[in-house]
Formats: sequence, C-alpha cells, structure tokens
Amino acid sequence: MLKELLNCYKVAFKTRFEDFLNLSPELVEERDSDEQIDFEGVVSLVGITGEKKGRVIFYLSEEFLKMLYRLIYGEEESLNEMELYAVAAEINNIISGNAITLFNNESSKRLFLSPPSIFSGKLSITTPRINSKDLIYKIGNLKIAVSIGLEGGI
Amino acid sequence: MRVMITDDSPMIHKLLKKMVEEAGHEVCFIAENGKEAVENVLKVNPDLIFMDITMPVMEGIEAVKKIREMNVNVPVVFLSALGDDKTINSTKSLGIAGFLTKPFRKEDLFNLLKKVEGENA
Repeated sequence: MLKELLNCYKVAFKTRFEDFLNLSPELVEERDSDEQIDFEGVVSLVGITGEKKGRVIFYLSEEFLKMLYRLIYGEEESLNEMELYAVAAEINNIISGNAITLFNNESSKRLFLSPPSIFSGKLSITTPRINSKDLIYKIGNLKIAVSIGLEGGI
Repeated sequence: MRVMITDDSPMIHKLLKKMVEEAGHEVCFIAENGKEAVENVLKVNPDLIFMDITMPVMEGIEAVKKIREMNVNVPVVFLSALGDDKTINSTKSLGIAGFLTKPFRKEDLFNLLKKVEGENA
C-alpha cells in the first residue's frame, strides 16, 4: 500500500510543480527513512487518517519557501516567519491532498488528511512503529525531502 | 458580491482575497474554520462562501450541513486539495455552486465567480 501511495505522491509532486509553478522537480533519490532524522529548517507535517494511519513530512529550507512565495504571489517584499510557515503548511496540504485524491480514486481504501502542523529550528524527528520512505527532490540548486510513512508499511 | 472565505490557511486567505478583489468583488469575512463560518453567516450575510474541507475545529462539509439547517441557502463553493470522487459526491446533496481543487487557476476562479453572480442576478 505504501508503494501505491508513494507513486501517487510522485505524480502529484511532479504535476503540481510543473503545471502551476513552472518548476521541474527532479527525483534524485528514493530510500528507506532513517528511524531518527536530524534537520535544521522548516518541517511541515500532515497526518494520514481513514482506513490506514500514517504521516507525511516535508523538509523545507527557508530559501525554497522564499522562492515559492515569490512564484505564488509575484511579490518580492520581505517575508515574516508566519508567511513562510503558511507556505510550508499549504505546500504539504496541496501535494498531499492531490496525492490522496489520486490514491482514493484508484483504491478500494479511503484516506483522509489532518490539517498541517509546522515546526522550525533544529529538530530531531523519530517516528517508531511506522514504515517510511523518503523521496529526495532537486529543484534548481535547492533540495526538498518528503518522508511518507504508514503504519504497517509496505 | 460579498464573499466569505473559510479556510485554515493564511496563504489561501491572502491569495483568494487578492483574486476575489481583482475580479471586482469584496471579501466581507474570513473564517479560519467551519465553526467560525456557522457562527457568523447570519450576521455577515454573504452572497457566496468559499469553503475548505479539511480544517481544525469543524470541517467544511459539516459546516455547510449546519448552515443549510439554519435555512441559509447562500451559494457555497468548496475549495480543497482533497478532491476524490467520493468527497465530491458527498458534497452534492448540499446544493453547492461548485468545487475547486487546490491549487486552482485564476481563470477557473473568475469563471466560477461569474457563474454564481449570474445565478444570483
């Protein structure tokens, strides 16, 4: 099931960035997630609920969020932290919403999403009892990591 | 038209307000969840509500059911990143004016505004 969901994320990530932001994300790595992840930056977390439980984490740099903000609003004005966090929350919400839409339309199972939560700073993230995969994307010279995990896993 | 936005995302508030105003309409109230929309709909009396689905406190479909129970027949456009067939079908009995999937294009939003304005005239 994780494999099918992962494929939906790959399609959603590529099409949303290409169609709406004119960006070409390149999937540079796919790997099993480490049990503990240390990260400094902005983390956007969305919970998966419904017939299967899980979570999706976007690891985002400030530079990447600033670039998205400029593309979405067409503004160059200085950003405050809350505006950056709002972009981080919505990018996960949109990609996850689109991926879950694809999944639900193709599957007999039905999944839902929880509203996003944002964390920032130096973080150490551990999610035991979950099987998780990381997708590492490169857009220009910026990297984004997406970790998709489901209880019970593959 | 006077438009109410119901969404938990400050990014969507800003983006939608900008587009609604560009189309010549007024954003009369921004609710951050379904409960705020239900509590304010009679007081604000909007001509149209944009309603997100996944929100904390009270989600969008439940909020529209409550608004309909209050005999308020304001047009509602659902605006959600989650747009699978079952979700869209579950909104149809609520007499909605449209369903926009996030991310949405400005032209699609403008077309919906025109359609609702035409139906309200």
